[in-house]
Amino acid sequence: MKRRLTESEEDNPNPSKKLSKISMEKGRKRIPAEILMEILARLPMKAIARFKSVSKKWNSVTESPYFIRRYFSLHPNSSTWSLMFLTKLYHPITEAIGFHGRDTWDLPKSLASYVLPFQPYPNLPTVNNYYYVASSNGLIWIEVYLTHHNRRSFVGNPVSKQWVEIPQPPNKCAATGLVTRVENGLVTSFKVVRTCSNQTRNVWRVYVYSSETGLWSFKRLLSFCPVDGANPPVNIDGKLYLWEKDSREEDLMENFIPKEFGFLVGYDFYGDDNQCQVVPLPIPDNKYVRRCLTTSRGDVMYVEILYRRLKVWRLSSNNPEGSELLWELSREEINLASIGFDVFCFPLAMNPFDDDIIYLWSREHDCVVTGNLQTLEFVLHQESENWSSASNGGCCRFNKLDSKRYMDGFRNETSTSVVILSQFVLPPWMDLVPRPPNILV
Amino acid sequence: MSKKMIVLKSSEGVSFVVEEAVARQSKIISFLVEEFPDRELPLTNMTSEILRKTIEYCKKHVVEDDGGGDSSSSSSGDLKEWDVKFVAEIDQPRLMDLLMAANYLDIPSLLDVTCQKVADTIAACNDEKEIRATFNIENDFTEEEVEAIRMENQYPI
Repeated sequence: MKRRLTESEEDNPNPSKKLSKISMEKGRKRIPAEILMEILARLPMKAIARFKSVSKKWNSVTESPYFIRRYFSLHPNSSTWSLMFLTKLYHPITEAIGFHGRDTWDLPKSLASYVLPFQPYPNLPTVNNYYYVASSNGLIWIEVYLTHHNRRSFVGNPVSKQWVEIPQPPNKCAATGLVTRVENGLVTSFKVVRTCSNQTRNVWRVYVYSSETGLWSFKRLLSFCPVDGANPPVNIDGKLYLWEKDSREEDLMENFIPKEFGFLVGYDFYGDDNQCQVVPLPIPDNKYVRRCLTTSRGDVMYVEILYRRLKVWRLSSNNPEGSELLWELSREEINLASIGFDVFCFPLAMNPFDDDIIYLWSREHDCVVTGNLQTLEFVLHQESENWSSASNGGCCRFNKLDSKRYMDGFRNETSTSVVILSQFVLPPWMDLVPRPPNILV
Repeated sequence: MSKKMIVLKSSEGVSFVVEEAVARQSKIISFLVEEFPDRELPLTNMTSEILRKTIEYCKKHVVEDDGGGDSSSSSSGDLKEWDVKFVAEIDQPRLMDLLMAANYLDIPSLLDVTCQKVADTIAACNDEKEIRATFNIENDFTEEEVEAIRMENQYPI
């Protein structure tokens, strides 16, 4: 379908097919394709989609890979994204914060509102039948319970309404995460990961469904920290990172790490080997610590607040191959009390594109807080039911009611939990959802 | 200190005397004055009107460096505002000519503002018919082809 614009196409000699012209006056030259590309690449995506039918030339220019590349260079990030709550029992699918910017998708409402009604099964009760599991590069994974025992799984894009049904795995295993492969800015493949129950020592047993084969496969991944998959992972493209607490009695003497640290287990599902990377969290567990695991600008971030001190750690690698992981403080720690902001806060996540921006939940005020780590400005979003204007001309929504419901539920869990929200970021281009070979369109 | 001047000649043969620093914002002119010093540059595919406009833009955007660092008369915010006003005052056919001139002379910032202005005009159109009328584009699609493209490119609302 995608065509490359060629010179011969540009000067098609076939007289029956008249080429379109942008001619201003008689005798003026028509606009060359590369200039038309420069103009059209500056349009918002919605206008590009709407105006493909202006002429054959417009259609072919906007379908060329050069055009998409140029569009990416002029609009580097999608400004449409939401911080989604991972659905638990008796919770509707919803978001803590939703941005929908003008410069790319130009959507009139935030992403969570596109998930339901769920197009393949629109009429089930919204609470307790639809579960939001994961997101990766604009795709989301939704589980639908038709009855208690009859489950369906879908991966797709709720905005473009394209869904791929994933067959059920051959054995019982729990939903873990979604990973994707991106080539030239477009998602070309996805994998659905489930974790088997009854894990054995040093092995993480998973079932992986690949959109490239349309099949499930069983994998035994090596990890010295046992993986039970109880916590949701954060993901970056093809990699999942799970926070695991080692519940075994004995310390892991062979690794010289006291088990109370907790571990992050990472694995690249598009990699060649079956070896997981395991890194302890930067500080030992403490019942007073409030923390979140998130990503920003393509890095895994770990944010903790302990005794009113806010620290942001970035997961990085000390060698070019990326095989050894370590935590680096991304900036000096911030004393929330000394800057006049010491309300009782839980870190929720970071902005996916700006590692100066952090989102917190204030238990004292029951609202979302935006913190700028550079300017040390912290803003409470009280009037959060409304859409408010964001800086890029788009809108952003702070969902107070649903966030309160989730965070109150979080209070009842063990004090040593980590908040993990899913960043559902629309892709910068109108990608098609990768189709497994055995699924008909 | 007198400034170095060069002469640009329009398609009608009208000569424009401009400071070299102003004209050098065009990468093509910048290259030509180095290769052929002290020469008039004939720009046979540019009308006097468009050349005048192009020079007006370049004069506003020139950054003079005569010892005092950045002595450009405008701040970047003011300059942006000026650009918006500059392209807003030009009608559609001349805007396209100016865009082509920016492309021909290789003035990236002028190409950017003119392309953006044309894109904004397109985005403000209600449908493809309005675009075709505004830009004098011939519809070379059949009804069926238009319908097929529409089906393929339904945009979510």
